[in-house]
Amino acid sequence: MNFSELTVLQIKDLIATKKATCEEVVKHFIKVCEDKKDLNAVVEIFYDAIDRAKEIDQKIAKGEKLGALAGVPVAIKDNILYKGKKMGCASKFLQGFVAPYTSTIVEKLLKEDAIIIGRTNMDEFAMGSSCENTCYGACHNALNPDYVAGGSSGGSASAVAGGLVPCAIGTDTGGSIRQPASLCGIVGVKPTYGTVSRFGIVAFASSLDQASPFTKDLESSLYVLKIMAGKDAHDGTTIDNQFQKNLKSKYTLGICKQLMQAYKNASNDKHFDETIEKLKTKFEIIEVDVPHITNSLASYYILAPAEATSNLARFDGVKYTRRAENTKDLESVYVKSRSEGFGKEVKRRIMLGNFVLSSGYFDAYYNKAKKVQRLIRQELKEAFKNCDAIIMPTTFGTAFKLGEKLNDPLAMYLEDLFTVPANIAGIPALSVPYATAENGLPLGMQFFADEKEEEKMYDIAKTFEQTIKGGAL
Amino acid sequence: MNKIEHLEYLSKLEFSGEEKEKFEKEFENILKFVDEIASLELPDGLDKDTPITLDELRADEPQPSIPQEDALANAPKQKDGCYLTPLVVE
Repeated sequence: MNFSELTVLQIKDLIATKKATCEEVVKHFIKVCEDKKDLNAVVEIFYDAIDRAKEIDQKIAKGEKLGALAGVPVAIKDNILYKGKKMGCASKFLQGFVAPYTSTIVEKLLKEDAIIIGRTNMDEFAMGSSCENTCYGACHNALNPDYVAGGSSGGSASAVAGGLVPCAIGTDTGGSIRQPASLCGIVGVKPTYGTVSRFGIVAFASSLDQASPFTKDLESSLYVLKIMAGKDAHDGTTIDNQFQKNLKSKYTLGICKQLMQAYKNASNDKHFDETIEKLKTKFEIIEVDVPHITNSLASYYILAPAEATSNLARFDGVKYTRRAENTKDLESVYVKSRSEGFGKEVKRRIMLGNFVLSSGYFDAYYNKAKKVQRLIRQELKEAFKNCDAIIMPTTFGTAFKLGEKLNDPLAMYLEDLFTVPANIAGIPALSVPYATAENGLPLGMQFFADEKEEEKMYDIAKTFEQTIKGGAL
Repeated sequence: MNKIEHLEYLSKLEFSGEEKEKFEKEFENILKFVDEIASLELPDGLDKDTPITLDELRADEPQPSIPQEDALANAPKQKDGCYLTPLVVE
């Protein structure tokens, strides 16, 4: 049996019904990680996962009660702490850092008997949309290694798409889960802000960051997300998301006028329109107006760098891992350590963040962006009075070739146009593969729902999948 | 001090000559892009967004934390339970 073809829930069931041992499952995935090392998706394999698998097998043999993810291998992005394991944010700055404690999300996964089998590649400090800004070397798309895996959580996406793991955890600040999920042909979600604890995850833009799973299928995605969710005393921004079930027999989908205009200006793709036609048999489709939604991207590139510049001030050559040689005083320790340790994109965003926060510019940029954020949130709230979800492509097109956008930061930023509004508004969003383009690579469809409406969002996505299945897309 | 030098100072970063030139160009393009927000006309009386509401704070009581040696374990230099830095005060 090829475990790499199975979903999280299928693997869990195989182990629970003793059709496979946890040890053989873990050994299988470790072998695939080794065989597909060249993808650069998994940057370190945790070989003690095999010992943990044996422990779980013993639990099963003794008939003890099992956790909800018993024996399921999970990989974590390189910005998530797991005590005693290295964590490097794909940055030269943090190489050699060993986690002094475990993040809440990893605690929750371990409590349910999941097995953490490695850490995955990413853009440095989660800044990027291609997983090429990384000290480990670019991550390749498992579906075609000439193409990017997307970013920033590209390693996690490529690992799931390539069958290296059935589930990997990523973080999403402006689309860093949904965009790579779309480019790698798998399911990726960003929950309502506050659903998942950020404790033990290296902060990028704290008011926008959320962690969640990459999986092959919708059912496993929601299953793992629910395990990761919950209020946490260590993160004051967590909320009690009850995953309310406001399900309906027929849903209304909104197509956002402004986003579609942007899409059509830049893409000749016909798949989206063809799919919408098909959906009309199962959904009511309406047009919705969110006048300021396309301003999300510029707001994001003000707010996220502003928060990042503050969050990254802690990397100063004193507290974490790296200090430059030949420094003469404390100031030069800071400046030299940071200049040597951070990569180009991280420096760009720190500088941008300081610009928008600096005297004379703060009101025009930062404060204004916060107002635009409020406006977009209100406009989306209004749109959800008329529809259950907003449907759109996750990205402008398929994965692009490695190196193609690396020297054009602005082109890379535009990758996030459809994903960023969900972070700006704090609402849940989900990307589901739906078609294959002419170059053989997948396209993702994205759904936005109102806050705490994850159950409805997944139910809509399920109906969507059933509707398009068997079609000649 | 020009704009880029001022930002280097605020950011505790320094760029070499060639790097600075390239950066300056890219940065101007990015600024043009975010200028969209600065020049946007907004309705009057719009408040800033406050997505984070810290309405439930725990009691302000000391709680166990990670041991000092664990917290210092990743420091590049340490001595007597402290981070070691170059001399700050003469």
